[in-house]
Amino acid sequence: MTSTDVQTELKDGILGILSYCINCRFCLPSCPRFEITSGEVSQGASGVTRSLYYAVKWGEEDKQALQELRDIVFGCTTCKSCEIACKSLSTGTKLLDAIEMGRELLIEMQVGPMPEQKKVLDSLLKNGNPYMVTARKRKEAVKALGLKEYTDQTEILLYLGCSTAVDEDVQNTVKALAKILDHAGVSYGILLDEACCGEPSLKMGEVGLFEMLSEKNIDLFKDNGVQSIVTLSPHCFETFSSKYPEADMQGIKVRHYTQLLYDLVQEKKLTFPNTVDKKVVYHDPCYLSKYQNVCEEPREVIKSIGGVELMEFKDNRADSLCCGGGGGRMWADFEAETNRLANIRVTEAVEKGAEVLVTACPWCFINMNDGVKVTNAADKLEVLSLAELCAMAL
Amino acid sequence: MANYPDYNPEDIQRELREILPEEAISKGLFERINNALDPYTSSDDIDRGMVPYAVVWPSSTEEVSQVMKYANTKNIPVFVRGSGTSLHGASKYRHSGIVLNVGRLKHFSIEKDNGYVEFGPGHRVLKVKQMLEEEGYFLPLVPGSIRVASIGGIISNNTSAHAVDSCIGKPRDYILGLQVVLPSGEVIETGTKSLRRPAGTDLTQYFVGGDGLLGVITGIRMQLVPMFASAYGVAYFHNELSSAKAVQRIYMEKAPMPLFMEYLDERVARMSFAIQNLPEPPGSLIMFHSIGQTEEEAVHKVNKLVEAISKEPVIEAKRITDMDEWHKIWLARESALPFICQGGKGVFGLSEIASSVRGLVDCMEDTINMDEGMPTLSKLGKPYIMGHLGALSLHPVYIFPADWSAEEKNKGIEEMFFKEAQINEKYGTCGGEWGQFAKRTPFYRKRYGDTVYGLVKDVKKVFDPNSILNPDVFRD
Repeated sequence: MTSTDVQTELKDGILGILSYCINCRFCLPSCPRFEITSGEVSQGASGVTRSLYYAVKWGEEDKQALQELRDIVFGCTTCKSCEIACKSLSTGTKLLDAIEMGRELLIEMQVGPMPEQKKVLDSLLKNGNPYMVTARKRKEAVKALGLKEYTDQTEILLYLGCSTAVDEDVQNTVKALAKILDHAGVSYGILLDEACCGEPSLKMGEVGLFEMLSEKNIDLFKDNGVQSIVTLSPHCFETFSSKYPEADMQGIKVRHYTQLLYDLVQEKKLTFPNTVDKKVVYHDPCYLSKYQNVCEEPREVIKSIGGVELMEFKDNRADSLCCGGGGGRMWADFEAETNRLANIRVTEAVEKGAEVLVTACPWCFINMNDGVKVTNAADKLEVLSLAELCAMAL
Repeated sequence: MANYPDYNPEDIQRELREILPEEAISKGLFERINNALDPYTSSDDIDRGMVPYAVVWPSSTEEVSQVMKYANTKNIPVFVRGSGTSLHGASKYRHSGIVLNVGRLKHFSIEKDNGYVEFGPGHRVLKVKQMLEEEGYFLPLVPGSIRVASIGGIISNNTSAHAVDSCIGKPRDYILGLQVVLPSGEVIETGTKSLRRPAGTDLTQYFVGGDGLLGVITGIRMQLVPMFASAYGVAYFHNELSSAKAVQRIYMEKAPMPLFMEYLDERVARMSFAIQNLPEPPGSLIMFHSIGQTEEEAVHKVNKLVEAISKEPVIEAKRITDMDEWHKIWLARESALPFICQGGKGVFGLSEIASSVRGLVDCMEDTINMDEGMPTLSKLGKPYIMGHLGALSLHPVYIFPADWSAEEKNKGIEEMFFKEAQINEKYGTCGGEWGQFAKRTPFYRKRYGDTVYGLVKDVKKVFDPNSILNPDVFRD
């Protein structure tokens, strides 16, 4: 298939999907990016897809216009709020599919991704992770965590993901989780050679690279006889569950760690002897709540810890406000944005009187932590992962 | 079509920057495209030659005035826009020009001591509703597009939307005064700061429901309406005509009109009840929501409605006391249209039919049979029907299949609106929900005659001598 053929196929696909959009704009108020831009329609949900639609329909070739389109299309957080709104209020158009195809098309046209994302894709290709860390250094960093390695006797593969492997703050989550799993007598282990699940490349429109990374992981799972995977990131969870070929993943049970903790609590294999006397607000990661409908499990785990007062954000569960980290945005800044979504979230948590903001996604965690610093809320609000909160109660 | 000079967009953008802050002008191609689109009209499309020169986002009345004065000097048409959700083309951009988006005109203050609220037109309706409810007040504007529609658009349209006019009236009944920028750029104030409405001439009435033709509303003063108590009911019918007869009887027997009285035909009811995991409904249905100063009063009103409805052939009519049941039924109504439209079935066409009280049963029958004599609609058969039956409003819906050509879909949509006009004309009504002009202009002309149509055009000329504001609505 030539690049021209690929582009034609993508253009047809985009127009095909978006022919069902009726410009009702019901998706617009639910779009988090729309929330933090100046109100321009093109910066939110249906505005993004209509921009794409006309660019494709008109065969837009003007360089400036295409760069403008790139900034619009790559600005989407892929949080899925627009699709949920469209499904419940309008035509059920698969807006995200069109946006992801749009990104793929812009890559094919050598317009995308965002300049800062190019080195991320290079790193994924060279190092197997998006953080510009060589594979060897990544392995050393993981080894230093002292986690059990996966063997043919291990029940659960703990899939670390890239942020856990390279970010010291995020590493506290896996250390806490290991403590919990040891406490509960769970058989788990890690694979030192895991590659990125490929989600960042997929979301940035580099599908070929995603396929390469997914094949590498699938081979790794097969070679090690993996039958049960628990991920630390909702993004890896969604990718393994929905984006990897079903045939290749057959017989492999995939869960997010919040589901595992919930199961352990339900089975009474995990109980918390200590109380945590804190007001806790839980932030739903989009890829856990909107994509996978995992909303109640983390809450039930939190509720099972004595002393915790669980609070809710105004927008919670599938209505949760995105932290802004999805869709490849961890590595890009967008001029159109006047605020950061995580700042809005942190401010609300502080106003509610929460002492701890708990989340279950490395990117949400990083963004919320940044939000605490930016809004000078460090003396009022602590950001923890669910695993860290649970470990405090052991 | 009026004639206007053609300009280079970059020149217009540069000149606008002299009168507006940088952030108040959108120059980007895609933002300009997005502000030129209309919703729902399946056939809606623009071409490259139609892209606006610029989109301006004034944040004050003064800035709106500056834009209008500038447009007059250059003879550039200005299209005013809120969220762009008008279902009948009122927000349609029709000629190369400037789009004035009111999205940043968002002042808001509740004057409890005076009994009114003042706000800008750029708020989404839902936001205003929420802000009022926080203070214990009710917003008497209830469009289906409440989440996204701008309140300025609703007021320019004077639409009661889903609500029953006989219960709460129209926005016009609540608007005390306005701040308006005339097409010439002059700023005027209308109305009163008292709750005592002006007697005699009140220019407020020209702009509320003026279809955006006479001026740009930049500030709205609206009477505060205290929140009320509610009660609910539902009735199921063997067929569509019985439900129409029941509503007729409600009017004839002077039963207290509810705030909402929504209708689902049997096919739609079955589908939407299934989505909400409700037991299969025994037939078509009307659901109603009555209001009162006390719960007793609201309950009394629902009971009176049940009593009136029960005099017609009805499977069941009852007051709903279980709020879970009401919420599920209401959700079924809310999800009915989306559900019909989903699954890649095709594009949907939605029309608005209004009836007289006396004609309601015949009107229902005509609506059911709107495919008759229409070659394209006949291929699809009977429409899905839902709507605001208590308000004498019906929405027949057609899904034009995905595998139809664009030409065939457009033909179907044309036939649908042709039938809409034909039925509305027969029952002597006019648009009660979606405005009067734009796509409906031919109907308006036919319905009221050339004299009235000419008068409306003359009024427009008085306010807008240079035909600058939302021109080409009158398509003749």
